[in-house]
Amino acid sequence: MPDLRLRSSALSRAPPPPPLQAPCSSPVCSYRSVQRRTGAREDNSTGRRQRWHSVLQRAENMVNAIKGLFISCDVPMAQFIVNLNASMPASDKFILHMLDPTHMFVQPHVAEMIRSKISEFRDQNSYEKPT
Amino acid sequence: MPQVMVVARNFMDMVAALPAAKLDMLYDSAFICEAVLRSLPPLAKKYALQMLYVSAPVAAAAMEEWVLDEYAAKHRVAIDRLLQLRVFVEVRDRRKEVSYKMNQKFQGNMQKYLVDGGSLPREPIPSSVTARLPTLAELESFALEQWECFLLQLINSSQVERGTSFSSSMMRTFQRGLLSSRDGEAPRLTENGFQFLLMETNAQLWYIMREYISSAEERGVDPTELISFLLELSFHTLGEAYSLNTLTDVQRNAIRDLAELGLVKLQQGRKDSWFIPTKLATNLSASLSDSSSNKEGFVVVETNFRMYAYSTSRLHCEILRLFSRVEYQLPNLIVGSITKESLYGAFENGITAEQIISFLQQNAHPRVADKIPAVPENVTDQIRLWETDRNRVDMTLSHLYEDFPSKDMFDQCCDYARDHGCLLWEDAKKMRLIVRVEFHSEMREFLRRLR
Repeated sequence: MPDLRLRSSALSRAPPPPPLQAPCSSPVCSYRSVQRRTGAREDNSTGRRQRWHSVLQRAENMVNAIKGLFISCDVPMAQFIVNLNASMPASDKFILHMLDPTHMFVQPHVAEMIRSKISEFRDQNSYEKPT
Repeated sequence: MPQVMVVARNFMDMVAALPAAKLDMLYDSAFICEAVLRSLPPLAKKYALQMLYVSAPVAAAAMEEWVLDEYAAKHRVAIDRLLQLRVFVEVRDRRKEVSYKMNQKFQGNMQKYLVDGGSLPREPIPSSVTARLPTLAELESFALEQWECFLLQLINSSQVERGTSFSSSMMRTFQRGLLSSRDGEAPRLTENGFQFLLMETNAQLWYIMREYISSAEERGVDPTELISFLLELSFHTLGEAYSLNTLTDVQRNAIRDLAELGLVKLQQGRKDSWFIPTKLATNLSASLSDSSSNKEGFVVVETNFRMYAYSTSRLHCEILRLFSRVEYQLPNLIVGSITKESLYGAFENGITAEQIISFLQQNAHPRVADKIPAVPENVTDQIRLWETDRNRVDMTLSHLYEDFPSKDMFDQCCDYARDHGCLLWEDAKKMRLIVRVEFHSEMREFLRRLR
């Protein structure tokens, strides 16, 4: 397919992206705060205080939950998105986790931006005869 | 015909949806009774005729014996239809057993019809008054021309030379569901709108008439009177002139609207005005399956993606413009090409590759229609490939879970999410998993239970 070949060669000429550093996790979900609130109510007696202490201790190991977009695509498109992320200033980088060459986890608000960038890229690789 | 999402129901579905009192009023007219009888499925027709001179209720159980056991489903469909249209009325006696009785008005009118024979809703004007009437061929070209003019205006085409006189609010009523308008942008054809254009003329007409009747109450018009008049209209003789003086005010207003759609032609004499029904009007009571109008194809697609449409229709040109690049528009030939850019414009409007391919195949010119395939395979394959090219990136709103305290807990959560079909990703080494966003609250509850 001519178009795919053109796109692949265009992508392969792109500079290799720098190694990805996963940004810090976003704030913990309300699950932990619920636990903390529950623990606070059990500090009346000595026995209960001990349980509270163990609950608090377990809360420190609780699961983190992060909201975002799960992206599945082919390898060239994944490289395009990685390159797009690398070209952004640090505050605008959106890839939270690079899961494998065809899957990634990104900020939830960037869906439309990625789509428009892909569309823009596709338009750059096509020519329309003037009317 | 591709899978049509726009349900082009015929009149009888609208009639069946009327409340019982209005439906009984409708059956005052023998013409409506006849139209309803014509529209019934075959078995229901038989039951209606069989019950025509039976005035006592017939038990439902007895009626079931009229058919063999293997046709019980058809029997059920027929009875349901008769009850929906209130040709049959359900009667329950003291023992709570169900019986069916024929609608008295319907029965009376049809009995009279059998005895006296059919008559016209109104007498045509004698030819000494009308002088020269248009021929059937002239009427047909008027109807199609008027209908096409309406369709072009409906899709907001710039090709409209002479629009109809419908108000903009009426046009918006018709366009509802067919065109979408974002803020500040011109309205564009939706997926339903494209499918609407692909329908045959009768189906399109039913769709428009349904919108017209549905919006009648907004205009202060009784829908029942409109339905009654439209069904009556289909019993007029094609090509004959009928005086406007015989119409009520509601009917006269409706006639002017119908003239804009091409269902009737209005003419003015020295003293009288009259309307002449066209083929579109006389088709109104025909059911969808009876339609036998097979239009001739007009499109030739070549392997080099060039397209030639042998058509004089501006509407055809507009349809082709939706997904192809029209290069020349000659009096009886449209030359275009199928390009990636023009197809992407169509895909953005919600038109699918399959719809475009179906359109090209169903409208193939007779010279290529018998070829296998009628549309070259490299063209159809490429259209599909360009469509999938748009969908290379799949995005799903989700939650990622990490920092599990134990492998066991991680495995239990994975199994839980997988069992509910919400697991998108798992990484056993790093103990991460991703689930759909709507599953987050259940997962949180599950984690709380594991505590």
